[in-house]
Amino acid sequence: MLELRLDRVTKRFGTKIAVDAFDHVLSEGVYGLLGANGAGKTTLMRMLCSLLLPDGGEIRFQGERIGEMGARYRRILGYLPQEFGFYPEFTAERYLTYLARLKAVPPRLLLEKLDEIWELTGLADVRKQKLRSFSGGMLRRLGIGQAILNDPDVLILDEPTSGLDPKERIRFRNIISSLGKDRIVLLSTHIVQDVEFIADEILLLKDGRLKASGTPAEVMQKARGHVWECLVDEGWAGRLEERWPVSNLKTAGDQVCLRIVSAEKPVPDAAACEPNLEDAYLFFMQEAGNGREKQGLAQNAPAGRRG
Amino acid sequence: MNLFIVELQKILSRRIVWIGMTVIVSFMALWVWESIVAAEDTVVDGVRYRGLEAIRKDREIARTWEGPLTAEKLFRILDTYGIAGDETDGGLVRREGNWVSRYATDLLTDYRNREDPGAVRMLSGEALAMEEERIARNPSYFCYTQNMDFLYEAAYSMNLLLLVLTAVVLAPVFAQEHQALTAPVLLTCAKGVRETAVSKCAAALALAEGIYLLANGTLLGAYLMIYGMDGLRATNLCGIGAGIGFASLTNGQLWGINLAWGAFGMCLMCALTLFFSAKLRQSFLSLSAALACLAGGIASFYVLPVLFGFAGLRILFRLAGMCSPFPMMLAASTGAAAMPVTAGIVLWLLISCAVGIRRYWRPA
Repeated sequence: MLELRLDRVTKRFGTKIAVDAFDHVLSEGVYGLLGANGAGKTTLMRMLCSLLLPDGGEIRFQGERIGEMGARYRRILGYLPQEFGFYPEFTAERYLTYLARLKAVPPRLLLEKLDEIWELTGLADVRKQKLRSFSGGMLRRLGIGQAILNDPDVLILDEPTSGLDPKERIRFRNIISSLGKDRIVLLSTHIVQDVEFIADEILLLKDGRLKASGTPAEVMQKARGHVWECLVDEGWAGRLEERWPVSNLKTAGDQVCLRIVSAEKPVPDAAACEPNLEDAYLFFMQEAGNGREKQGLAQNAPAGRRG
Repeated sequence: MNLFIVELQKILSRRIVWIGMTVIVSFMALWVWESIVAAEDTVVDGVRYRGLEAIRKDREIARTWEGPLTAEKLFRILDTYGIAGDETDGGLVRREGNWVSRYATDLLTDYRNREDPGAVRMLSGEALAMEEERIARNPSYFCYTQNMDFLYEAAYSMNLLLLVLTAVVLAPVFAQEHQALTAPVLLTCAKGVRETAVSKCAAALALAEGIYLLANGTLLGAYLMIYGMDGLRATNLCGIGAGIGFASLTNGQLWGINLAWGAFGMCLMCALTLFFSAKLRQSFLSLSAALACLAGGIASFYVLPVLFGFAGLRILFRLAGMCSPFPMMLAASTGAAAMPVTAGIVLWLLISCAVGIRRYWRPA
C-alpha cells in the first residue's frame, strides 16, 4: 500500500503564505486538487516533486522524508508541469528515449515501454516528427507519456488539460482515469469537470489552505441546503450576482433564472436544489461577509417564480 | 543513449556556434592572407620576389645561416648581403634585402631608431658593445622565424574572440533549461540532477577546448604550411621577441606551453560561464556576467601595473591574465616564483565554480 503523507506543509514567498499548513494523506487513486488561480496548487505540487523546499512541515513517502530519499524518490515519481517545456529540434521518439535514460528505465524495457506510451497517447504516427511541429494537445499527451515512462508510484499532473479543446480534454481524462489504479495520481485543475467523473477524492484549496476534502459525493453533500434556484427580473439579477456566488445564469424572456450558492434563501421564492460539484466548489470558495446585506435584499426582493 | 553526446548535440544545435566559428576562422584567414602573405617581399640578387615565392627564397637563404646566433655571424651576413635599408620606388618606400640581412640590420644598425630615415648606420661604441654582450649572454638558435611575432598577435586576437564565443555558446547550457521550462521535468528524473549536470559540464568543456584546439591548430598549421617549421627550432630571442622572457625556450616549446596555458584559461572561462548559467538561470545575464569577468580580467592586466606597478601585485596580475588569451606573457613578466600560488588560486576558482553549479538543481 502506497502512502504519501503531507504533515502541516507550509511554504512562504516573502510575506505571502502560498501553502498554509497543508495536512493530508494520499494513497492509491486519483486525487483532484481544485482551487482558483493563485490558490497554491502549483506550489504544493512542486514541493511534492522536491522542486521546492517546504518552509514548515514535512512530506513523507512510505514513512521516509522525500528530501532525504533524493534520487530514490525521483525513481518512483512522474511529473507533468503546468508549463511543459520541450526541445523543438528533438523528435518525439528521441525526447522520450532521452528521458527514459534520465529516468533510469532499463534499456531492455525501453522499446516495450515506448510502444505502450505510443498506444496510450495516440502519437505513434508522429513519433519521428520534430516537436516543434506538434500541437498543444499533442505536446500535452507527450508530456503525460514522459511522466509515466518510469511507471511511477506517484504521478503529479499540474493542470494537464489547460489550454486543450473539449475533445482533447475528454481524451486526457480517459488517460488519467486509466492510470489511477495502483498508483497515487494527483491532478490539479481549476476546471471542475476535469475531475468530477474520474477523481476518487477531491481536495479543495483556497489561499493555500485545505478547505475541504472527500469523495465527489461527500463534497457535494456538504453543499446541500446551500444551493438555490430563482427567477428574478434582470435588475435584481445583477444585484444578486454582486452579493452571492452564482453557479449558473440563464435568461428566460424578461427574467433571469439564477442558481445561487448561499447559506440562506437569497430571495423568498428561491427553491433549494441538489448541488453539483461546481456548486460545492463555489460554496467552499466564497468569501466571508458576502451575506451582510443579503437579509435586507431577501426582505425587499420582488416576488418571482421559481425557474 | 549517451548523455554526454546528447548534451553536446544540444549545444551544437545552436547556430551561434557555427556562425561564430565560421566568422572567426574566415576573418583570421583573410587577415592572415592579406596582412602577411600578400605583403611578403624579398630581394635576392637584385630581384624582388613577392608572396609565397618571397617566403621560399628567404627560407632557402636562412637555412644556410641556421645555427647558434653570434655577433660574428651577424657581421658576416651584413658583409655578404649589405645593410637592408629602405628604397624609394615611385613614391613607394620598400625594404631592401632579404629576411636574413634585414634581421642582422635590425640588430646591428640604428635602422629601427634612426632620426634620419634615409641613412642607416652601424652601431658603434657602447651601443654595439651592449648589443654584442646581450647576444653573448643569451645563447640562441638562429633560423627562419618570419612573422612568428605576428602569428602570436593573431593568435592573441583570435583567442580573445574564442573566449567571447565560449561565453556566448555556454551561457545557455543551464540557464536555457530553466528559461525553456524543461528543467522541472529534468530535475524530477532519477538521473536528471547530478548526471545531467556532469554531462553538461563535460560537453561544455569538450566543446570549448575542442574549438580552442581546432582554431589554434588551424592557425598554427596554416603558418607552418606557409612559412615552414624552421622557426619552431629557433629560441624565442629570434622569434616572438625578447620581451616575453623565457629566452632559453625554443619557439616550439613556448608555443606548446602557451597553448596549454591558454587551454587552461579556456577551461576557467568555461567554468565561470557555467557557474553563472547555473546560478543566474538566465542566458543573457549569465553571458553578461561572464563577459564582465573577461573584460575585468583583461582591463586589470593593463590597469593594475599603472596603479600598483608590476612587482606589487604579482598574484592578482596572474589571475587577471588567466582570463586573457595568452597568460604566458603575463607569467613571464611577473616571474615564475608565484606560479604555484597562482595555480592554487585558479584551482580554487575552478572548484568553486564546480560547486556553484549545484545551484542548477538546488530547490528554492
